[in-house]
Amino acid sequence: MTLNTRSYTYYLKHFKESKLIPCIYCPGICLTACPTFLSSKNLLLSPFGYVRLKEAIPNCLQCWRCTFNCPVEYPLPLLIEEYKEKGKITPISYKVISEGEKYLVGDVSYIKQMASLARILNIGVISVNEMYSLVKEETVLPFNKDNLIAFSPEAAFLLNISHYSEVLSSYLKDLNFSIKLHIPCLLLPRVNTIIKSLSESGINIIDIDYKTCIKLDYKKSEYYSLCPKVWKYNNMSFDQYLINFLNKNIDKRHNL
Amino acid sequence: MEFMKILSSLYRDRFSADENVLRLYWRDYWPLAVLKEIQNKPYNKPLGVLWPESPEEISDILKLAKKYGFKIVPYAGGSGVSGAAMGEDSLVLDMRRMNRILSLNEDDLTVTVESGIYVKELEEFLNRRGYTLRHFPQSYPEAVIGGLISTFSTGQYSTKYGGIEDIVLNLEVVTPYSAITWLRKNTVPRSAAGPDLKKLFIGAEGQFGIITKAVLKIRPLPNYIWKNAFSCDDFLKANYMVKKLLIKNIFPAIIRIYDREDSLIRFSEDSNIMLMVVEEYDEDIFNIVIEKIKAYLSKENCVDTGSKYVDKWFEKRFDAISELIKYILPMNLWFDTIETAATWGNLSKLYNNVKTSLTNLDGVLSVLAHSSHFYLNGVCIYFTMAFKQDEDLYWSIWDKTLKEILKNGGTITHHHGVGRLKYKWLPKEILGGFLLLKRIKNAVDKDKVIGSGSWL
Repeated sequence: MTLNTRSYTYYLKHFKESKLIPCIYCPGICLTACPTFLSSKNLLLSPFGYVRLKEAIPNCLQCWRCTFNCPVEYPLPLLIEEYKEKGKITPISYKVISEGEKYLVGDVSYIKQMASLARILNIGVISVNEMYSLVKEETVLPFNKDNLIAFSPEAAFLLNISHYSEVLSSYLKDLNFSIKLHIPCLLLPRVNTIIKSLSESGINIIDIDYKTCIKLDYKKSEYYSLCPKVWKYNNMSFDQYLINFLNKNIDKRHNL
Repeated sequence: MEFMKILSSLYRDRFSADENVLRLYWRDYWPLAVLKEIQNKPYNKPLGVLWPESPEEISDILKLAKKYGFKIVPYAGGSGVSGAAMGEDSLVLDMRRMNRILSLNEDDLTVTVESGIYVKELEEFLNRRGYTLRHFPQSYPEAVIGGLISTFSTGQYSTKYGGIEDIVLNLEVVTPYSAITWLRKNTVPRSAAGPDLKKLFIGAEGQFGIITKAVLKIRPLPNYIWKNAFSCDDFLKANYMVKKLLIKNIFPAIIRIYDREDSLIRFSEDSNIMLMVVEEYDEDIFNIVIEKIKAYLSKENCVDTGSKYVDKWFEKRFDAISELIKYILPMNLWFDTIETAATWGNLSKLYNNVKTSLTNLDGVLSVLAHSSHFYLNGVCIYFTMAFKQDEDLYWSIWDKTLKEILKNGGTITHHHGVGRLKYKWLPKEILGGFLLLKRIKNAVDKDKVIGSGSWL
C-alpha cells in the first residue's frame, strides 16, 4: 500500500498523455506563490526553471504552492520526482497506537505530540510513514476516511482527510486566547475552513502568515505554525501551544 | 568581456550570465516569441541578467553601460505581449527585488512603492487595510507596477476607474544619463507646472529612463457591488446602448460585451452577452444606478440572464492558460489578440471591416471580439484569433489588421503597448509625433543605452 495523491496522479497522467507542460505557455500565474522565486526573484528558481531545466530541479521545495495557484492544477512536484528518478513506491506501514472512535493520523516521528493532542481530544492515534513527495499509486488506509483526522499537513494532503485544525471546534470551545498563525503550504487550500473552525473554538487569530514555506526557512518566532516540523527553527508549533495552554487551563478541555 | 567581469565582481549572486538563466529571460509573453520557443526555433539571448536593489545601483549600471557600450533592457513581470521586455544582446535588469511599499497615506489616499512590486501584492496589502488600486489587468497575478506603467496598462475596471495613467501621481526615475530624480518635489492632485513629465514615461517601455518608484492613487473598497449579465440581439447596438448610459454619467465599473462568436465559445450562448458590474459607495446611489441600467437595457431588447455568466467570468478572468490548453494547442493552432479603440462614429465600420478582413485570411480559423473598456467618446474592441502555427501567417495577420484598423480610425494599441511587435506601424498613427519622440530620445540617450530592440 502507498499513501496517495489521487487527484494529482490523475492530472499528471492527463498531462503526460497530452505531452503538454502548461508552464511553457503561461505568463507565470504561480510565480508569486513560489517560495524560492520570491526569495531570489530569479526565474531559474521558479516553476519556469523547474519544468525546463534539470539543473534547477534540486532547488524546488516541492511545496505544491504552484499547483494550488495553477488554473489547470499542474502537479509540478510529481514531474520533478520523475526527473529525479526517485519515484519509487514507498510502502506504507501504519500502526494503531491507541484505539478510539476517531483517530489522529500522522508520521511516526510525531508520536509524542499526537498522543498529547489525542488525549485532550479523546480520540485514538494511528502512526504512518509520510513520504508524500515520493508516492505514485493510489491507495487508502483501511479505515473510514470520516474517522481519520490528520495531525500533519502531509497526512491531510495525501489521505485527503480533515486536518485537526479544521475540526477543532467540534472538540473545543471558548478557548479565549489570541494567536498569530502560520499556515503551511499543504494546508493553503483549506485556509478558510481552518480560520472558521479555530474562530468557533474561541481562538482569536490576530494575523496569518500564509506566504512562508518552512522548508525554506522560518524566522517568525511570534507565529505558531500548523506544521509540527517548525521545531527545526526553534519555533513553537500550534499544537504545542494548544497543549501547553490546555495543560494550564484544565477547565477548557471538556467544555463541550 | 570586461564589463561582465566587473558586473560579476560588483553584484556577485545578483548578476548572472548562466546559460540556463539567459534561456529563461530571453522573452516576455509575446505570443510569437512563445511560439518560437515551443517550435524550438533559434532565439537571441540577453548578455546577462542583473537584479538591482536601488536607484543608485541602476545609476551606476547605466554609467558602466555607457563606458563599456552595452545596452540595458528593464524587465518587470515579463507578462507583456508585445516583446517590449526582450533583452536581445543586452543586460536585462530584473526589477523585482525593488519591491517595497514605502508609505501609505490614508489622509491623501496615496501609496508610495518601489516599481518592482507585484500589483497583486500591493492590492492585497491595500485590501487588508480597506483600500484598493482598482487596477486589474488580465495579467494581474504576474504583472509588476513598473511594467504596467511602462506599457500604458489598463484594467478590467477601467470604465469607472480609468487606466494606469489615472492612478499615477508621481514617479522616481533613473534617466539614461544616470540621474536619479523624482518628477515632482511633492505629491499634488494636479499641476500646471510645465508639461506632465510622468506621461513621458507612461507607455515609453523604459526608453526615457527606468522607473524606480511610484506614488499611486488609492481609494476605499466599494461597499455595494452588483453583478449581472444580459443577452443582447445585436453587438453594435449593445455598445451604443452603453454610450447612452455614459452620457447620463452612469459609469459601471465593468462592462464587457462579447459578440456572437465570442459568446458561443465562452458562454455557449448564441447571442451577444453583456457582463456588467456596478460598484458604489452609497446605497441610495447604488440602487438608483441599477434601476436606471435595467430600464435602459430592457428598452434595447437586452434580456436579464442573472449573474451566472459574470460569476463564470470572475472565476477565470486572470487565466491565460486554460483555454489555450483546451482549444488551441490540441489542434496545433496558435493565438494572439489585437486590441484597438475607436470613437463611437468609427466603431461600426472598424468592427465590421476588421472582423471581415481577419475572417477572410487563409489560415485564420476563428475570430472572436468583445468590447471591454468604455469611454464617453468611444470604446476598446478586443479581437482574439486562432490560426495555424506559422510565422509568415502571423505577420500577415498583424500587417493586414493594423492597416485596416488605421484605415477605419482605430489605434494600433489600446493597452498592450508597442514593443517589437508594433513599432513599424507607430509612425503611421502618431505622425510627426514619432520624430519628436525620436529627437527627445536622442537628446536624453543618444547612445541608446536603454532598450536594445526598442523603437526610438
